[in-house]
Amino acid sequence: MAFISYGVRVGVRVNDPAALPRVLERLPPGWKPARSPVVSRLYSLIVGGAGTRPGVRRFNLLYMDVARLARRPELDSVLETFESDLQLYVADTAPHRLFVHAGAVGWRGKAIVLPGRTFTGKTTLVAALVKAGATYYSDEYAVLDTRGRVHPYARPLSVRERGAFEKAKRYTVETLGGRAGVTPLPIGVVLVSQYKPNARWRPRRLSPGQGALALLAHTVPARRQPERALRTIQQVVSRAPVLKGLRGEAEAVVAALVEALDGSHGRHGEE
Amino acid sequence: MGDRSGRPVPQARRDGLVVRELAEEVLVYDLERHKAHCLNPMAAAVWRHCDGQTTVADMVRRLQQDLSTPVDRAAVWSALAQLGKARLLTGEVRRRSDEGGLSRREGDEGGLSRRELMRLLGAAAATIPLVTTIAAPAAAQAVSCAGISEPCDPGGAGVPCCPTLECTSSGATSLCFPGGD
Repeated sequence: MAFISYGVRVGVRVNDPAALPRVLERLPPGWKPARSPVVSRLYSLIVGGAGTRPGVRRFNLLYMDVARLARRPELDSVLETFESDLQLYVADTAPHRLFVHAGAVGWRGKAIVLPGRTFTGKTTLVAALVKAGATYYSDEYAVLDTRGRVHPYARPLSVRERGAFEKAKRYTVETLGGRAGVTPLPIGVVLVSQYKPNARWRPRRLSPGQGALALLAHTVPARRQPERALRTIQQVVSRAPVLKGLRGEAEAVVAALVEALDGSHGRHGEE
Repeated sequence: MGDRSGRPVPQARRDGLVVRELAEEVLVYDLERHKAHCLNPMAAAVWRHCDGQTTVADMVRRLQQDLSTPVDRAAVWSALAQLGKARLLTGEVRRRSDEGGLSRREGDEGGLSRRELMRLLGAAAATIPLVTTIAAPAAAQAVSCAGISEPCDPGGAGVPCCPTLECTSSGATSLCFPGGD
């Protein structure tokens, strides 16, 4: 089958039709079937299973065009590689969107964007904001248009429950009591933060230029399309403040942030 | 690079760069080295005057007019040193011993002496130049990484292992585990 995700045409074929539903679960949010079979990348999944001899199992194989990406006995493991590679490919090549590795939520008609690498606590902070009433846009990518607005990339949140290096579990935003955003939002504030136990939340405001570098450092197609990246980021930093600092527990930051954005404590956010 | 009397005339590099002007700062992306620079207002002002014809002395005078504030020659030299280090100038700009009577250390072609630095620190903050540089991330560096016991590719394709983890192969499987000492 061929599909389109954020303007990127991708094909996927599977030797076992029974595995297709599991493949579809791994596609990026908002994907749509494509009418044309012409694609820019083709994934091929060869499901292993029982071999022809007793006690022998065949490996599951994943190819991206002609390159083998994975060869493993567990199908789930191969599907994770498929999902990761596909996600990165879409983020890197989307023609009309700029993907920034960041969490994003909506609050009173504006987006809060949280750039950061893994283990900086993005998902924890996103989940805490959602529980406080923000609408969920993503825990992985802030997807920006040319005007610097944030579009949804509402995949299930990847939460590491027992520690930073534990395998993540997926939760839909609805199971957290929240809801996903659907309309693009202008950015209200960008928070560049990293979790540190017992840290006090005392962010400093970056200059627009420093804020632009902070965003570019987390921009997926920064090297492939630097001119477009800078043009979009310039739209963001010319309108929204960029704050940077260490933070402690997410709930404390959320309380301070809500108070600062609202001017009062405890009100719920709206799109 | 110098004028007829040998005084340095810095020249800004333009080839292979993407330049975006913000309200007061300048963003520069080096397409050859995949580095991005932020020039603060003072550094940006110096860079604009690097036209291959303006000496440092003339630059100081013009900057004082532009900024309506005294400008220390050491600040301009500091800006040129930072711009040169960031590869935003063509050629090398060497400070002569008769440039403004500043002290010069051997091998210090654009750095600051302690006296110069103290003078700069006492100057208006607006006249202290700063060029901030980051390396633009490759696509895979910008995404979430694989944690403990998550699959990885020892060949380096796909999502990398998170910091402090290494891609360890055992038979047909490669997983991320804490690195050894």
